[in-house]
Amino acid sequence: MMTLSKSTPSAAPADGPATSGVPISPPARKRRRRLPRNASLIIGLVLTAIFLTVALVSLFYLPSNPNIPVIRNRLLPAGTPGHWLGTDVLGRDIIAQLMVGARTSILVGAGGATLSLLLGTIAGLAAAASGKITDEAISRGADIMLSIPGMVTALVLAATMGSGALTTILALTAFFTPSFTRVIRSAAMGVLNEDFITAAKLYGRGKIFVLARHVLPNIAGVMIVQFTLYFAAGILTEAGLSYLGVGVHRPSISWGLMLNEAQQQVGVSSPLAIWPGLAIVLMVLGLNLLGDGLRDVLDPKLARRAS
Amino acid sequence: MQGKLNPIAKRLGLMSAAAAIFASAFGAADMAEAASPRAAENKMVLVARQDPGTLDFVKSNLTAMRLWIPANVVEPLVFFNKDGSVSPGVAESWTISDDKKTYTFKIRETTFSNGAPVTAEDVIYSLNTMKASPVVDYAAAYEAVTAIEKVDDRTVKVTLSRPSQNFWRGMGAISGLIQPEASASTIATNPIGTGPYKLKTYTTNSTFEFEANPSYWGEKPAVANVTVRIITDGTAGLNALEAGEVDSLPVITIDLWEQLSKRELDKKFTLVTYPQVGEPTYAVLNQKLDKDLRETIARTLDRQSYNDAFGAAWGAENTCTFALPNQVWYSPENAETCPFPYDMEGAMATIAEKGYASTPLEYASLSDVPDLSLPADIMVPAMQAAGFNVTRNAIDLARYSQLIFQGRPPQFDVTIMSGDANPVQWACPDPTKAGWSTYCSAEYTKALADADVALTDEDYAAQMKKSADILRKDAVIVPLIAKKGVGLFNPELKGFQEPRVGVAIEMGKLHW
Amino acid sequence: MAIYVLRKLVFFLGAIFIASVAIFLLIRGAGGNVAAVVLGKGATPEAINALAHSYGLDRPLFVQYFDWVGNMLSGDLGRSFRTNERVADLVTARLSVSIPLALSGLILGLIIAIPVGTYAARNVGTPSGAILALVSQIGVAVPVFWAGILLSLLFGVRLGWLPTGGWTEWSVSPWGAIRSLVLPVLSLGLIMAAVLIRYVRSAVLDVMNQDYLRTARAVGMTRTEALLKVGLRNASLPLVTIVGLQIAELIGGTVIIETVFSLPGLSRMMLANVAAREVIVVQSTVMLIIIFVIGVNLLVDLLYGILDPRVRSTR
Repeated sequence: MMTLSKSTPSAAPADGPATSGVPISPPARKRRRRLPRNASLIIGLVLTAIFLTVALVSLFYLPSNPNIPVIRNRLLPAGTPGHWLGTDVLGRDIIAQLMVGARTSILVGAGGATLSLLLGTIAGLAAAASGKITDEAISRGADIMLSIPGMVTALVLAATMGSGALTTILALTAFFTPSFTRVIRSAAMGVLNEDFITAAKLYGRGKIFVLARHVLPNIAGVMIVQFTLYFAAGILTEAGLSYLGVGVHRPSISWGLMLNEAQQQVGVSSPLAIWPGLAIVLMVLGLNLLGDGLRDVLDPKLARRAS
Repeated sequence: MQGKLNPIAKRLGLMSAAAAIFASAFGAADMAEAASPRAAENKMVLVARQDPGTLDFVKSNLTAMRLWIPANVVEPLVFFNKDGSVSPGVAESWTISDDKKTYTFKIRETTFSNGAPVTAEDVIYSLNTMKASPVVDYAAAYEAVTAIEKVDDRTVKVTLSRPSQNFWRGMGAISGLIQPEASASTIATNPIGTGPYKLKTYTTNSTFEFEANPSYWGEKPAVANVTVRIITDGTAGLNALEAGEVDSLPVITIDLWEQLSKRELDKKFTLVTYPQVGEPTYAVLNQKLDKDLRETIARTLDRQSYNDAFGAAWGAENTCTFALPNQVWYSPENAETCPFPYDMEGAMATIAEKGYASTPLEYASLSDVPDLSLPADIMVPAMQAAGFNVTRNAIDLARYSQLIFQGRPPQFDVTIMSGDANPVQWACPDPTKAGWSTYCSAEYTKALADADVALTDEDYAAQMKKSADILRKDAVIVPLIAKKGVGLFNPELKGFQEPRVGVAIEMGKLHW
Repeated sequence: MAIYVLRKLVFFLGAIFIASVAIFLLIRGAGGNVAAVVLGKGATPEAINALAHSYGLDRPLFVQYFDWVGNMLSGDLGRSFRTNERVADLVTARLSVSIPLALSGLILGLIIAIPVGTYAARNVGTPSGAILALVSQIGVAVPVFWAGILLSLLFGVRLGWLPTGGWTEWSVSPWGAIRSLVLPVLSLGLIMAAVLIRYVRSAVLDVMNQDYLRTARAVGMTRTEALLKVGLRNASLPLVTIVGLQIAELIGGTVIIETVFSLPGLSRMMLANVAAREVIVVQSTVMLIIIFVIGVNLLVDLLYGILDPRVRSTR
């Protein structure tokens, strides 16, 4: 899944509204179609907000310490008072672990998305605004990076730096930056071709000024949407890496790590493998829906351009 | 979420319960039959949990190799039996001089599985190769050896500078394995020997295929064709056994025991527990730490909770020895006879009193071995609760090996290891030769040396026990639990015997 | 055209060179060495260094790099330090697991995605279209390994129909090999399908809005006929590109699925060899994967250049 997610956000087609003027979808239908769009924004917002809240709460309150074993409580079933989702093989509360897992997922996912957003924006703008040689160098560099399977990079990086949250963030950055660069480059190019830019240039504005004053605000929508989608992809990737044992380790806890531990107990207690997986699906689903919803609101043009 | 999933889970449970009833009502006869096709074909399929990566028994010390190659494919000069007697191996007979400094081996007139005759030159080559082995445990047998010479075409004489128990015992272990010089280049994938089986193919991470060695000198193995499938996922291995796809899991690690008894596999299959392939689990504390500090760490280790964590008290006992019961330096210790028994309050008091909280400690943990990460999950929080400032450093195998064995001094404070340990590893004639835990004790080294030159078995055992005792009391090795060897066999597959050459499973003894 | 091909080839070679330096530096920077792994518990630093020396691992890095590259150029991928097996043989053996897994996963994904995606596109705005969109959204959010764990829980642990892991060699029992592949392929295929449905849906939507479709309908085809006869063929070009793109991703998906089901494929080999610091095996295998991925992309680019002359001028 992990590398599936690598290009999913950028290449994922927008659930494209039909190009105007084509009589396939009558206006009545069009209105009906708007409804699920707003719905996806709302559902996405709600899901994302829930997980953000959980992660915030986990900083101040946890039902119990998710790392301290209480052997007499081991493998309690779901529904046990005080441990409503049960406990794992060392008697550690599942809810507490899921809460800390949310924190890790958000930290790593957002960290990777933020870093690659920064680097990708810088590289993408540079490629779009500079001469042909810079553009070619950056674009080909991105192509090369994209051709190295992300898993391989992550494995080797984990061996080189030792696995942990920081390494995972860097691995995500390495995966995402090239596709981010491509998206930002093409969005910026689109803006740079507009008439008002030519006007600004004629007016004597410098390159940097034009980029900061005119281009950035115009691609902000794209950036926000892409950030959301890569955030989701980052969470999926982190889960996969931790599941493989090259992501985070205890005392850090992640949903992928919980699944790794749960698989060893599959023959003893199978529900352990359910909860962290559900958490991943809901959080990623929430972010993806949010991203799609935002795309409609912020940048209807992007939807067409992407497909 | 709960409301939705529970019914599904329940339904699944019901389905499997129904399936079980169905199977027990109609399937019992089928199951016994399911094993018979392979029995009739003179075959069996065993499961290994780990892939050795290399079969080079000169360079590798990995259990995953030692389980299958020695005794089955490559034989030592002699075999040490459980009752203490010695049987012939590649050496048909032998004489030991009265001063125990000259060993003369008469080589058996036989061939290797590739058809080449076994010569005195091959024996000399094999012993010299083992003498130069980079594996300390193997080379240690040859410390007293001064000469390995050919007497005639069938006789080899080994001269020692002093009596050496390590040498004699080594001749019945991996140190004494005999291989043909001509096949040295393929040892890592296709080791050749005189054993009851020859290795047909080895596919890493997948399978070993053995077939009976037609030129074997002894009694032909009862089952001519043996497949060993490597299934790293424990549950998958148990499933394969239950489904009748395989006939035995001869070595089942502790992380599967709870599942095994929960699924009642011990009732459907023959459960064998044997101490010799067991694994003592012990904490290793770096000797650069102050002795009082080491003792305090030792007192935070709750053996019972380790044992309970695996949910299979029937297979593991709390212990205070790192030896296997068949090793001469074994002594029947338990948690109470430890030099530093579990005492959390006492440890906390000492930590507060001596200000140990200010000493940062690093716990090196192997990130990819489940039955070693579980002890770390227990040990690190316990040490933290006691007041130690300990951080867990999760690293992969290569970094772990580098950190602990290659670094000098080794960069770790605490770690947990599993498996039999040869006390010789910690011999330290002078501080510059300190072993990987930086442990160096003149007293300990002397006890080991005395054991080596012992002329009687009793004396040898007494000195070895003494050395093991020193190691424990110095709180360098803190034994935690002793896991038994556990195997599951198809009820029709009989004849399992405890290993004679290290931990090797002697497949030739099994029969339908 | 010749210049276009030449530029593509130069890029291909440049990319491979840069990748080879990157992977070499990364794995060499990882610390630890295979000698320490081979010798195991209780090894002495002297013994480890001696063994590393005999492997040639103590030579200057640039010497080792050029040695490796030189051998690669002459067609020698090197050997495993531990077993002395040729990397080429190791890789070939593993491909008998990985290729059937990846290929069947992709095919299963397409078999599901093409009809479902087309249906979804035709039913945009209807309840069934919305449900399909939601289902594929959920599918995209499911980690492939969780799908694997759940499938093995149901069909392996609970029902006992299929092995939950492990591998039977094709040579031993083709039926056993197929049985070992069913659950992994299913997990991979379902998740691939969820991703592909979205591509198919938007590709078909695009096509539906094109002039030629209206023309086709104008000449009397029904909507369905038009879509199947004209639309799908036109939508297949972007689809081919996507499948090309998915190759790199497929490799990523197999890494984790091979781990879930203990399959001895290429990816598990990589994992084990990275952990053991079999540097030559890792370097050469990674280079093979990269050359394959870049090569496929190169081919796709060249094909595009031939099919669509406009591409040549824009790049």
